Amino acid sequence: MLNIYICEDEAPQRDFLQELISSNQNIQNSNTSFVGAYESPADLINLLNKQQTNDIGLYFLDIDLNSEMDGFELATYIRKHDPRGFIVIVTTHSEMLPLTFEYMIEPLGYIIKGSSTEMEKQLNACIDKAIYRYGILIELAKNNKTIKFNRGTKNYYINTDTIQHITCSHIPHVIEVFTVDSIIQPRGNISELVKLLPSNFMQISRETIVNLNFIKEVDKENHKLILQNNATFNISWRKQNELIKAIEKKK
Amino acid sequence: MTDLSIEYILFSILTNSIVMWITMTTIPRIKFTPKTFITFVLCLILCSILSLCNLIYPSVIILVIIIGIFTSNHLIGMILASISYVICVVYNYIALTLWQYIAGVTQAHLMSSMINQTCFYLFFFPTLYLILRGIRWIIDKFPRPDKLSHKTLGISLLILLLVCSAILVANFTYEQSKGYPAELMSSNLKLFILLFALMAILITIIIIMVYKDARTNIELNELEHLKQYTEEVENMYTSLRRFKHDYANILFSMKHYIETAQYKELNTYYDTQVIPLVTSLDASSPALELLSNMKVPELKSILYFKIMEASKQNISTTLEVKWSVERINLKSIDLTRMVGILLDNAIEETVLITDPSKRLISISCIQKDTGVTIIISNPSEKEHINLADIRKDGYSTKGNNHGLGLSNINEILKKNDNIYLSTSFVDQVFTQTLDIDD
Repeated sequence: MLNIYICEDEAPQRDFLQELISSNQNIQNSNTSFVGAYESPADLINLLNKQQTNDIGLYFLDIDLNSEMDGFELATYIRKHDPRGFIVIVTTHSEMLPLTFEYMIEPLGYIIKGSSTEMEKQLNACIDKAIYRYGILIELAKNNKTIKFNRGTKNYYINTDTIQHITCSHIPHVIEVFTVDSIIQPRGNISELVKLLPSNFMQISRETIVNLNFIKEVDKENHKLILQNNATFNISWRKQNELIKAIEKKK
Repeated sequence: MTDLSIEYILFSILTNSIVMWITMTTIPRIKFTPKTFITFVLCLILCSILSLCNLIYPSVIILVIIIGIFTSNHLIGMILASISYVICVVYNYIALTLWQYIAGVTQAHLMSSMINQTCFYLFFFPTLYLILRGIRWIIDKFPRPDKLSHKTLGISLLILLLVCSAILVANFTYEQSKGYPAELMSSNLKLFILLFALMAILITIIIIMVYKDARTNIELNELEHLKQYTEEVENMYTSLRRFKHDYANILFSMKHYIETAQYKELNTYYDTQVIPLVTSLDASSPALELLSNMKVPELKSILYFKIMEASKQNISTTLEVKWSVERINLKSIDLTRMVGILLDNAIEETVLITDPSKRLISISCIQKDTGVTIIISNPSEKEHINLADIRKDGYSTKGNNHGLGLSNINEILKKNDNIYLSTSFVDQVFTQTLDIDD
């Protein structure tokens, strides 16, 4: 279930958002419900603490950076409480800090306060995106295809299909994960990690795990593995036969 | 050698003087005036007499000091003179050995007759001169020492020091095997020690100078940035004051429209007068507003500098520093290099974008409980970047010379175990996220 929440301190704007949401067509056709609109962050936090469900939320939060407990803190709280939830930031143009929001809150989208027609467009786009992403999440959870990495307070949820390879980094206990469009350096241990990954992953040496779906070729003579992204790795001799068998089996 | 006839003494003084003349004047660059020339010649003769009385060491010292006085850079002149002497000594052995093969005269024979010696010197002088000229020629190929950076000068001196020690060892073994007189050996040793001492002093001076230079450069830069920054803040303040003034006027005008119930006019007035004013205020250096939250001076300075550089190239920037950043757990040299390279790369990539309105670099510095995160993102016209290549040394998307930046980054990453770099390329936006843990 995708639950929708609003937190906005100004009554007219709160009513306006609620109106827009209830008039959205897609919400009525999907597994989505509107829970409520709240005036203060504390009210919403209380509610979230009470309900212990596996549901995922879609939150429309007013980020007014001047109040006591601001929407920003609320958003970081929600990120911790509901790490997979969708947060939509409602803010004015001058209070936009896109990179900071992206890093700390990973919002689904923004609604910029201003003309009401623009706001409606942005809100509908966010709802569509949330419903689409929610579908993917459910699908991934079924196939057990998401893996969580973390470093410090920062969590990364990665679809294992996008991982090309994972190697040790220059720092002990820190690994480097290469996905199709990013490189991250979370904490981890190669030999522990390979147990958590689906069967299309294989550890080919002490330092490296590769995704068999991304293999270009195996250089048997030099014990080298070349991926489609042209990254080249050494294969430990004990693993080479196992690797070749696994590749043939896939074909 | 025992018969000290007048001719022999004169002959020795002459040959010694010529050797010294060639040795001391070929490599060091001396500016002679008639007066100094005569002084020098007299000194040469004096030194030759001294060395005949087995006082080689003081005579060489005197010559080295005199060369030092006559050259524009005294210390380097003295070092060059000492080196020349070392070369002369080494070459003397080589020439003697060679001469034995060429003329078939043993050393004992050589020393016994003046004619034999003259023949030898006729071979020795020109070859010595040619060798020293050759070395001078090689030295001239390199940039002048005072134009070299202190670092290269230091390194070359160190190499020289090593070469000299090697020569010293070789020289001693050779002399010992030939059974040379002890005084000669000890005088050579003293000369080497002098050479080493001079070089040690020079190296120390260079190290101190490098350090001081670096310090003053950093301070000067920071001062310059601070000055520019203050001007920028003053400009912002002035425009804000102007806005305050306009704002009162605008409200007054609006009040007039409201009082007279001219709502249509009010609407036009709002659209044509108020909105442009607000946007112009927003557009005036938005990047700098939050720079005041950055309390780390070196980072503030480099951010300011690079933002200004970007704006010179028609690139707009946004800077987000929501929470004040007090300190960063990274050596300032690494921090500024790292951020400098990342921003340089961002600028280089963004300049290539054809539509100027899309040239936007975003920077964010986030103070967290566990450390500081610096994010730099820029648009790119590339369809695809192979991220696996980025961590390879020497990689660049823009040709060969730019790869250095990235390999410098990798080097800094390897040196510090509390910094992490995440990279992403999504929807043609390239983002580098640098986490620095406390």
